[in-house]
Amino acid sequence: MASDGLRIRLLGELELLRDGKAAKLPASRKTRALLGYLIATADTHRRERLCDLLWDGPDDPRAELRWSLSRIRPLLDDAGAIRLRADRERIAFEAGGAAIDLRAVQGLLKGGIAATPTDALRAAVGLFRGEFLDGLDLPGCYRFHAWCLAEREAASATRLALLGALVERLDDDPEEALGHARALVAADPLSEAGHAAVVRLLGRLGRRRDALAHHDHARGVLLAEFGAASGELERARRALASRPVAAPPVVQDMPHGAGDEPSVEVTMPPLVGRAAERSLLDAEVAAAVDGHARRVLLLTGEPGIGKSRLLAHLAERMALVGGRVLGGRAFEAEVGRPFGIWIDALRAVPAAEVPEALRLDLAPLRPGACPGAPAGERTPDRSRLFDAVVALLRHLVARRPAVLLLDDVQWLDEASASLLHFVLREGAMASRLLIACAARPGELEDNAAASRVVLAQQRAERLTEMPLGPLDMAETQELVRAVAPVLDAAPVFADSAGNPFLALELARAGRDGTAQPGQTTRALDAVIAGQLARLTPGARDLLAWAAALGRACDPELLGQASGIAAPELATLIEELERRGILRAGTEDCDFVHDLLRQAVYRTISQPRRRLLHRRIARLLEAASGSDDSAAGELARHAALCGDDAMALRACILAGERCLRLFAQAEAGGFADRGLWHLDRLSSPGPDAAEARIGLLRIRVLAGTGPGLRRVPDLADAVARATAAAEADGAATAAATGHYLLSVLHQQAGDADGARESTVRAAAAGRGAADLRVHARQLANTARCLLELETEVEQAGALLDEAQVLASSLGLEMCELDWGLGLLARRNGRLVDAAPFMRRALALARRSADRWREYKCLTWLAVVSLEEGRLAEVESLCTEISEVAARMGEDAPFAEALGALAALRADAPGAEGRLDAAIARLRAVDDKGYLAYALNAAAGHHLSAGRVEAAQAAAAEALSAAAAVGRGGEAAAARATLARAAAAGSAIPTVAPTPAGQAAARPRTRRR
Amino acid sequence: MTRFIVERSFEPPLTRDELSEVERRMAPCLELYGVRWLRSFWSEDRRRMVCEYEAADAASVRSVQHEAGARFERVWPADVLEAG
Repeated sequence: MASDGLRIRLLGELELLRDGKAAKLPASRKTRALLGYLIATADTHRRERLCDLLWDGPDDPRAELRWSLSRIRPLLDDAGAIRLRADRERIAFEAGGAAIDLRAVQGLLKGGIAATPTDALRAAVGLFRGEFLDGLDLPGCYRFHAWCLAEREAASATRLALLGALVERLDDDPEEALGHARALVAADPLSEAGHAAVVRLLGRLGRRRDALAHHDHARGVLLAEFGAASGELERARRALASRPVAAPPVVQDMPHGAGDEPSVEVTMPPLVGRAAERSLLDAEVAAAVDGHARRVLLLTGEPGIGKSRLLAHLAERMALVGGRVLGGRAFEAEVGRPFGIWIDALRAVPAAEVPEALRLDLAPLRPGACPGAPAGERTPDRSRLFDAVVALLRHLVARRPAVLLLDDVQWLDEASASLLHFVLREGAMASRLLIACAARPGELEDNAAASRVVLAQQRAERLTEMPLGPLDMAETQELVRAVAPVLDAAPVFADSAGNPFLALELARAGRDGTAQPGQTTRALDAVIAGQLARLTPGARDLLAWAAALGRACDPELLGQASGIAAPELATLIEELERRGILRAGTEDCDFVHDLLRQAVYRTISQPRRRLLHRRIARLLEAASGSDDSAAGELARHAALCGDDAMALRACILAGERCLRLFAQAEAGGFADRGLWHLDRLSSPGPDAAEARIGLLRIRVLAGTGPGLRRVPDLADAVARATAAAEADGAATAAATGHYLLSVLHQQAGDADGARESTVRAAAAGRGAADLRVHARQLANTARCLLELETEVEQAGALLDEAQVLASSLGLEMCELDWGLGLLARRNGRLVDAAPFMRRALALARRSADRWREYKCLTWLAVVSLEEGRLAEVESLCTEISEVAARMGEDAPFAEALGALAALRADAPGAEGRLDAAIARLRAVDDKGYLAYALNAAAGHHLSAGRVEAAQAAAAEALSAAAAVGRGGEAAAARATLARAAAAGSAIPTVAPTPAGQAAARPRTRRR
Repeated sequence: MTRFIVERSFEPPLTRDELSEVERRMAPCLELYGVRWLRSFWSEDRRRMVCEYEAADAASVRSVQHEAGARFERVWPADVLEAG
């Protein structure tokens, strides 16, 4: 025993005990993870390596590390020993006399299990309280997570070997051996030797019926997983038959709950106390009703303290006054699911209530709700997506007030945090929208993206933080009475320390007779164990699957994973609802509290966890087909079951998907995780080079997207991967690698390097001819996106790439100049746009491409009109009509442009010409150009004081633009409608213009 | 969404390889412009073709043809009459 009494427990939840008393650990899980890592490794680490392990993000990892070390130091150091040694570069933990359970096990077994005395084996087994560093899973920090899982596997294997050895050695004491055999099969349900031992030992104890029952149960488990049970279990079964059958009393070893009277639970626990908080929430609801909601609410407090319950209260209050409730919850398992909380929150908005004009832009957040634009296809750019969310929220609150409830924001993914930040900034005027979040304060600090949102609101003095403390004795008593009227509340209060969730669970356990009072530190686990013991085996099994799934889940998936058929599944879910463990909604079901999910997960042994995750991963992969929406989830489960190949495939899919959704940070995370899995593959296979280049491509693109973190230094990694691909003869991968290098060189301003890499890409296998085709495709796609006013940022990136290739290959492309001209116009640089368009026009004429000549002339005329070069517009329009005639087509848009130029020059008859041209555009059904002409006409009407005519033209422009997805024209139409409304007429059918949409189209248009 | 018919004629007759090449060029354009190809009728002498699309407007259908370099004579909106 250590002289100073410091004992450290790593086998189970991390615990530090001084003189037998548990020290309070930091709330930040990353800090606790760091503590566990330093102790378990007992090694010297470079600071940068620890930063990579836990703070691989855009902020200041070294500052995060310093902060965490400052929290850890007082826990480890004391007068007797300095255990944390740190200098500018390195950190080390030295045990300094502390007793560490993991080291004790290693010490006891240092000669190998076979050579260790039985008493020492017993002592070693007794040190295992649970899985290694249980509860410290950090799926977002994949390096730490992988290390933790590997250590957990090793510790679990030691424990299983210990139990196996004890079963074998205690042959003369079947009673004790049975206990170890039971522990063995509980930890590893697929241990056939363990099951056989249970059967054999029960038989030896004369409990043949129990032995047969266990045989049947074990056979079912093994059949379900392996399709067959091999000989050992059957030999044990046959051995039973050969023994004389005694008539023993049937003793139930395993608790069964089938015969219990199910207690009736109310799913929503009562709300007691919190008078001040309630009145504040009521006041905020009243403010939202009156259109004065200005604050963002943040409820903080330890897990189980009642944050979610208060959010539910807020929802009830808003519903009572006829308001709308939108709510979502972040899940720890979902840090890689971009916009997860928003997708869940917006699901409650019926499709019919989403304005037509926003549907396309909102498609990424409403998968399935917009059949014409499935998520991931034709995705608008990120700013349009964000604008659309703000516009939708404004549209919704224009009808009635609403509350947006975001729970557990400490697990918010970066994309969701960015959107929340934007909504809070842009939605400042939406004073009928109340936004309330809940978070665990210690863990909120672990999430840089979510912390930034909170900090920004604090700085803007818009945040009302509501820290929730424990309930007092009287309040706890009231809570206890609600579920167990006759129970003495005093011990419950003492054990729960006023935590309402824990108090409720303790009260239920007390009422049901499964309470184990006095175990404050592990009270919840004890209570959960009691609850689980009362469940039917089927319900217990189902709960394990639900916990492994890690989030609210579709009952169908739960049924498929657990192999439980629909009717029985419904019965079991009902049972779990009655017990107050699960809550079933209309589409999914979930644990009533995340603490319960974690507690149930802790009861599952590591080998069984792997089994559960493997089956879930296989199911998800089989169900995915061409749909990659569950790829992030698949990557998580594949990683948790140790299937690196599957995790690698899923990471590539998930990374590509995140790029499409403009979730750059998440995309980069998946690329890193994929690379890590790739490095772990024992036999990487022929596709490894391609996979590595594919992942690096995601990494490069993720680092170059809009508004994001610094680009990580990837050039070396890409160069190495490219060389490896060349050595493997993977020509396509090598070409892509060189091409990525050219992009990286270009970004670094190294034009020579870019050119050299491009030439190498050509030599590497794609061939110069293929590269030319590739460059044309890039330019064509970019130009097309710009013309359609969609994915503008992506179009800009594609144009950059096309330019690199074109300059290296000496290519001249009409599409490239055309695209650059459109981009310049889009960015308001009309002076730059015209020369690009002229060059594009010349190239189209050189190749006698009539259609491109017609299009470039048209755009040149548009730019000239917007620049005010009216005479040039007229002459260009004549040219357009001639080219169109040679193509055998009309040119009504040229007529419209000519009329607009005439209108601005105050030429007589111009209005009539414009009306005729607009009628012709309607007749030929060209909605894109029609929207442009109508917007221009609306502007003209408005400046002439003809408000109604302006409204009519703008409304038609909006409808036409929305039909063909032209966001810029739609925004211009809305802006005109808003100006018309301000000019004196009410427009009841159109939502007000969201702030920021006018800015989304910064190009100038003179009228 | 409106149905549109695109009429085409080919002299000399269109070969299957040429058709495949046009299809390859057209696929990404269809997606970008939000146009859905429904079906085509190709005369046995390979000289005429009628294609049916669904789109928000006629201009989108025309643009797709131009982008992909597909020959066509006319584009017109259509109602569908089917056997009862």
